[in-house]
Amino acid sequence: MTRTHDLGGRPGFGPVPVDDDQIFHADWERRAFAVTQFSQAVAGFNTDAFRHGVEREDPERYLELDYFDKWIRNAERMLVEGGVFASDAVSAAILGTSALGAANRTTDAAPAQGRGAHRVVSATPKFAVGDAVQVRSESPAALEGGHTRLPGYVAGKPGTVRLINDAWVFPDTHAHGQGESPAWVYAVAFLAGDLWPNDNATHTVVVDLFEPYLETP
Amino acid sequence: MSHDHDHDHHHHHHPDPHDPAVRVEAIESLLVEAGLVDSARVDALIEKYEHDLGPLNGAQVVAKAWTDREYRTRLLADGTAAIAELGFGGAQGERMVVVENTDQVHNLVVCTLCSCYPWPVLGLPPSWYKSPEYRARAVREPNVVLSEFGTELDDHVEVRVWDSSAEVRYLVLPQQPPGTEDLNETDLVDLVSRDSMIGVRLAGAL
Amino acid sequence: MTHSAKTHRPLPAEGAAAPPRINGELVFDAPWQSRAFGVAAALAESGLISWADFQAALISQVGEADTSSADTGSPDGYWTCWLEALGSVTASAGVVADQDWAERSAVFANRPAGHDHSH
Repeated sequence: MTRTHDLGGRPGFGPVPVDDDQIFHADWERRAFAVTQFSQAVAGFNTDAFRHGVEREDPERYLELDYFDKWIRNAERMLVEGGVFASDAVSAAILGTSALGAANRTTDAAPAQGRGAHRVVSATPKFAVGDAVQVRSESPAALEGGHTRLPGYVAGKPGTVRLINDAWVFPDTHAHGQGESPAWVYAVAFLAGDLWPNDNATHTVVVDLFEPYLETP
Repeated sequence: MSHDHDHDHHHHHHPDPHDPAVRVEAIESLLVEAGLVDSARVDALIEKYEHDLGPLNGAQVVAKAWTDREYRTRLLADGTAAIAELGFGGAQGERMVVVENTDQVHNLVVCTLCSCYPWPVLGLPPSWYKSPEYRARAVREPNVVLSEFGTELDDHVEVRVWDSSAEVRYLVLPQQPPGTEDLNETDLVDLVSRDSMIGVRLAGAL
Repeated sequence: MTHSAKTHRPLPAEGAAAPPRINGELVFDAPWQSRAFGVAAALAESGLISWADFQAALISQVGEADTSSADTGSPDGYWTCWLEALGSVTASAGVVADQDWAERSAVFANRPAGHDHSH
């Protein structure tokens, strides 16, 4: 299943908008930034669930919507799923037709207790620096359409462990309120020639991958 | 552009002549009349300094690494701790890894899945960093992307692209521009642009 | 490529005369603050005032404000000092007379509401 937000290596895109170097183009974007973060806290969404919320944007619109447009839409999504507002409440409030009312909560993804995502685990890392690894074709934990941080362009590809980057809350479960399941993260180096054999490319791409995504070749 | 002053036209309230907004407008109008200031130039300078002028926290980290060999070693060994020595850290910077550019290797940072960026050292990301074009192409054709920023590397330089797909945040330690060896740390900070710490430009480049 | 680092950095990074920033970005709470900044920068750029003189005036304003316990660390406090420094430096340079400034401010203050809807 194509995930619209999983853009690494996807062909068909034009020049990078180099001159668009502002953080915010207008005041509403500044407010959208603040409101969305506040909404996340009020709705009780952890970081992984937040990201998954943005990823669940309408695929037909994901690429054309402005960045902060996607954020504000995610704010609404989180507030509804978090049971803070009823699904028609926001537009109703804008139209002045009703007061905002609470609805049933449809997400279980409460935030970690403000501790950040770094964790100490008792299991030793399965892989060492320099090990050859194979990326699985998909995350074993990812639900159908669920959140994962396994980018499609490295799925099934061979790489080499460059760094062991500690253990972290596992997004694939955490985004869906299924627990932290912390796992080791490895910075895995890939040759561009392995990723895109027809490109004649000679660069290296290093991707941070959770241990469940990797197997011994 | 939106503006949200409350202007109640039925209430004849005049601002105080000591109100700073009034005073600024007044002094600018006097200067314009005297031909001493061009309002368009004022606009341009506001635009430039609002969005360009550092010093970013990361620029201070880099300038220190350029002038203090031991700090550089600590920075490359444990970025988070060395950056914290200067008082920087926090959200989206729980673990920072600094990758150094050398004559043989040029580093570039991207987040293909969303827009992850090392906030504590670089603030919030520029719009181009979050664009589908950058997210898609930086990992696939980094040299072409670099040339779109005006950055050309020698053929033998290995380009290494870091995709911030987990919670680790990457900061590029750019090479110190040649001819700047005698500058002090404060002056060197000015040479370290945000773009050089993402890796799309070299430090000291305009 | 070399260039003079001094002229490239008109705003100090630290100390009493340093403007409020968040990770390097200047903080303006209101349009007049950025305007005050821009006017000073334009005058310095064209050489009508020197940044050194301006910095000195600014530090002096901040010092006075601190003794009267104004909050010079806040954008409002800081940019008010900046504005006063701008007035003092342009007066010394013979470019704007205090009297003219006060009069022009009074004129603008007495304009009918709705004058500025062109922005």
